[in-house]
Amino acid sequence: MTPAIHWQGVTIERGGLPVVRNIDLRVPVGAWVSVLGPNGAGKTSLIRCLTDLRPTSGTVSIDGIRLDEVTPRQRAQRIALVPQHPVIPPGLPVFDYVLLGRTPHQGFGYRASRDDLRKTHAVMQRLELDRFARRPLDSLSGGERQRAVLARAIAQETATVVLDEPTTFLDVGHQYDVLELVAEMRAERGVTVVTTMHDLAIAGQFADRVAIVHQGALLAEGPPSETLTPELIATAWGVDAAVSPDPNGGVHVNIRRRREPPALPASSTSTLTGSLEAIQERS
Amino acid sequence: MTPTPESTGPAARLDVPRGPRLGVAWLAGGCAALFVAAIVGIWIGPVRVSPGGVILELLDRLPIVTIDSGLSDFEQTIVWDIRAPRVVLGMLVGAMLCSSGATYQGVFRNALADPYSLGVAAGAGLGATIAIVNRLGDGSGVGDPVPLFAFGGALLAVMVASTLGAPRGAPSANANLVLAGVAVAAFLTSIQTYVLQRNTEDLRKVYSWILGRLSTSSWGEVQLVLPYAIVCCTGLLLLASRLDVLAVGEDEATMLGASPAGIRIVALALASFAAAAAVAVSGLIVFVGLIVPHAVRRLGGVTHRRVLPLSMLFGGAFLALTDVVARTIQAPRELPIGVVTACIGAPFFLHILRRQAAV
Repeated sequence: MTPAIHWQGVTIERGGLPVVRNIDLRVPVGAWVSVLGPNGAGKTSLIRCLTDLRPTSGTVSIDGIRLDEVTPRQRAQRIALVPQHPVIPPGLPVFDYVLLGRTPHQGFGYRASRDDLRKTHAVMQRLELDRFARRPLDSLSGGERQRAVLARAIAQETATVVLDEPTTFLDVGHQYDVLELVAEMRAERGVTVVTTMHDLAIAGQFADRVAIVHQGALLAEGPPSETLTPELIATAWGVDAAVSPDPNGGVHVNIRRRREPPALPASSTSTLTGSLEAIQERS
Repeated sequence: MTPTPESTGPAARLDVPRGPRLGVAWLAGGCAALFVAAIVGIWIGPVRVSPGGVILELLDRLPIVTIDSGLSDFEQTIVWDIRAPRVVLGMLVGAMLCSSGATYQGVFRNALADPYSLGVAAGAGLGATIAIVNRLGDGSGVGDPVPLFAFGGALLAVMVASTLGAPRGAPSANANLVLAGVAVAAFLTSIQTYVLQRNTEDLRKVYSWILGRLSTSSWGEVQLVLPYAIVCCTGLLLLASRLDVLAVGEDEATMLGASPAGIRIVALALASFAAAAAVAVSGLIVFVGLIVPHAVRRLGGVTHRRVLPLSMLFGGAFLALTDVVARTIQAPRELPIGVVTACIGAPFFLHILRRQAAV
């Protein structure tokens, strides 16, 4: 079966040095693949190949079509990207922002049709954003903004959605909110999901498949139970991890501290105790 | 389950927002402002003419309309040949400067960008100076090379200022772009001064072009600038929805299927041509391209589908009314219109600068 995305022998060089080395990775249609790896491993470069970065060698295909043979508009009709640091235009109403997702489906004048307006409205209702429709995007909280960015990607109606570190800057509650929404959207619409992440525990619970990138090369690829192993985690990140199966599928990853906590100097604990006593006396 | 467009039903259909289109109310408001500014601009002057007479006289000039305005021949001449062209020229210049400013602000995502702060006027002045001292034209008549040279100079100034102050696709949400514009303007003005010093016999001709002719304007000047105004304003209005996609930055616009580099180049070319043409007929009128688009954005919304047409309408009205102030505040002498706009615009500029610094 033709993969949704296929990085085929992709090498990317910057300043003559390879940041991605001969990566061959297939994303099956309908799967959720998490691309993991330490800082500087090459995850973002790999994702940028789907937008504006041309690999030094190798090819990237979407639905069997090479990306260097399609126009930006054709590419945007097939793949939507939620960037790590989305630009938040000041004063722009949330509805108008989500409506931008319809851009690849609009004609020469980028004029929104009634169909565009209705589809945008439906997505906003689904993501419970309709009550913010006329509010400026920059007045929303971090979690609500991330929902709006996700809504824009969903309004784009593509077969594949790529999320570049979608949980950065979100508290743990909002992290799970956003990813549960992605999981629901995937189930409802059958979209293929690719995410880059730093949180192994979250990746282990949500992704069907995990690709670990280490020093620009693909270290492992497969289901979380086969890739998020203590050995591979130690190789890629240099940390000790305990991994256990998750009853809902996937795995639980717990990272352990490498060393025993250092003993605090006696003076700091006595100062703390003294301060507490002083507060109690005053009250 | 995801509600499909059909399943939202008629009740939900009523709640679907209309998107970033320009509302009829705002359009009517802009047209009304333009109409009021036109009447006030033609009515007020050293010779008193009744406002009703002004309206009737203007209606009489429309095709297939014949009305007796009750004005004497002398008053008709004042209304139609002296004041009307001045007001229309002011409106065209206002519309061009404001649409130009709104476009620069959109492309650079910087509220401080306008034809003045980017050094456009200095670039246009240098271009026109080079054309005049080389006897390529005198700036009168459609198709004269002087406006084209002014356009080249304006575009050069914007390109250099944006390259130095706002790297590709990056938001220039600080004073870098303006500082680059100041440096570019100073550099181009110094070259212009050098060229002028070597060609002192053309001094009067060059300064007559740079300082503009709003105070002595006739229908001839209106005819000269009208083609540029129509081309630039129509082009920018057609680009408005594309500029809205650029609001999310060049990288994200590419992901949405747009071609930001192309949009940016066409938008900057049209905005620079509009600003250069405006400078050619009115001289340097500072800060208009900053005040009006900013006010429109605060009141009417930030999308270019609203900001651009409203900036043109309210910009035209604003400059026509500012001209009334400039010619009446110390009548019978006239104050240069740029002095009035600078008095309003400079505090406005500082206000925006403070707000940007606080972000």
